[in-house]
Amino acid sequence: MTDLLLSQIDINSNSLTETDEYIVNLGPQHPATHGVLRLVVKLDGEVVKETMPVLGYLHRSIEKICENRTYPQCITYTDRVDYASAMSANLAYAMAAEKLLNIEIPPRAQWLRMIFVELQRIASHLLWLGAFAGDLGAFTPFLYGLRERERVLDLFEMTCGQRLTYNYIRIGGVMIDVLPEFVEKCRLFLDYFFKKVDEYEELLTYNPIFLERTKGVGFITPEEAINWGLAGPSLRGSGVSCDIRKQQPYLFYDQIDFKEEISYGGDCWSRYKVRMNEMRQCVSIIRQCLDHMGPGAVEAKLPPVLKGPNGQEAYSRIESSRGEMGVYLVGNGTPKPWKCKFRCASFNNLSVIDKLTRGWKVADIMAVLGSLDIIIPEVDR
Amino acid sequence: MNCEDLKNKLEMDFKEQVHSLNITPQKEVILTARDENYLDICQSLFSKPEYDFKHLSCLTAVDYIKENKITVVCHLWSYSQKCQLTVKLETNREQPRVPTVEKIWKSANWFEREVFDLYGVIFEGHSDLRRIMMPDDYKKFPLRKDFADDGFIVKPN
Repeated sequence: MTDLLLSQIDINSNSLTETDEYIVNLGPQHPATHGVLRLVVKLDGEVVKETMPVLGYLHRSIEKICENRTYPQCITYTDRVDYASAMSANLAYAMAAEKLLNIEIPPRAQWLRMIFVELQRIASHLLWLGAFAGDLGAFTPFLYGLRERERVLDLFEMTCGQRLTYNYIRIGGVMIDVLPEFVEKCRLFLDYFFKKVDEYEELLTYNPIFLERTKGVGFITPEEAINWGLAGPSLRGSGVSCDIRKQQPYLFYDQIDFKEEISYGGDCWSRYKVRMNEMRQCVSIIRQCLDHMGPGAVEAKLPPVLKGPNGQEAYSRIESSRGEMGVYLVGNGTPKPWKCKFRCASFNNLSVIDKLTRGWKVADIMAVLGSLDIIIPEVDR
Repeated sequence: MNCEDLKNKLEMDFKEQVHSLNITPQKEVILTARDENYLDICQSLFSKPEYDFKHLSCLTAVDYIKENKITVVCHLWSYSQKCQLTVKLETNREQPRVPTVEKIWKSANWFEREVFDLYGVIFEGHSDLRRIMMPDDYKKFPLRKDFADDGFIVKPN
């Protein structure tokens, strides 16, 4: 690989001061790559000429495994597709399976799904905030972010007993109803958390050092961003209205009053700002869900063995914490899916890294990578 | 635009260029293109303002081992018309070769690399067709149904 890259370098021998391009390997064990991602960076001095991501260090062939498991068994593997936002992955798979098998979900289960997915979005954005600020050299937000994330995880643990891989949203509903005290505890957390977002913003948003590192860095136009397949907050940071909760409403998002957060800068700072505002919207959505949620069943009556109809297929998309997450299922009349494909936002968001970093300094790679909110298990699957 | 409207519109525009066009019980419109018209259809879907499919949501392949074919599946989404469309292209399983849509949607670059890596489908005209997940010197195509490795045998259903 390196030999091949070295052969591509041309030495500009005509100029008075000769400069030489060289290659730096970032990762696969670099703290700022948030996992095992390797970036082969071609540099001229400190200026990035090309960034080539090398994937596959965390490839566990989840899609192949799912083809050899029954429909309900696959839920466990979806947790591992995106472990920082496992509820969203659960939901994406469950919704695709329900679409394929034509299953109706009781309303209470739908409200619970919305509450947990939005709580998960808060937790995921908090982890991103900490890691992003950490990449830029600010350590305090990491502690702040994880402090509040812990309280979200407590709510999850209270309900399903898990703190990271929940396996909570199942085909036909959710695993178990929430405890009676959950609603009150959730409301307490929301009141507490809403004020904390201002605290993070005070630390970072108009901080001169932070602005210097993020404003204008990693710019992408809306047309290019759509063409490259960016999704979620990263695309909304370029001023494109793309929220699937608004575009193609699922669950009860059409009954909820919330604003789609858009920022028009197209740079790292805009992507940051979208996520910060989204956390406030999450609080508002969860509050409305808690108001609307009535008593009732949390799981639909399912046949003992779920068989995908032969030759039929379903593609369902949700807005996960990182953007568009789609699941494509093909049935063949047996209890196992013939094909199971996860379309993950991080995969496409990472593919644009070369475009975003070209011409910037090597330190800006960290800012760009952080602002895209990549999670490696989702890229490699 | 709902799925009936989309289907009628597609029927008017591409009637001669498709193998089949139908609405599934899951309310999805599926278009199976003829080999020679695949690129033209994709280009019109992308650029015509009444379709405006600017977003390639997903590109993958399905191995139908009994019919001896691999189907390449593109899921498109139109931000302005708010509708979803599935475009399919069937190819031979022994010599799978399909044209690339990378020139239309740049996001297809990595999607097609992944399909090449896991199914062995050659995308003609692709700018950078290398393995993406598996090691570069890997010889097999893991998501094919007849894939078998030492100690890991998969029987197709």
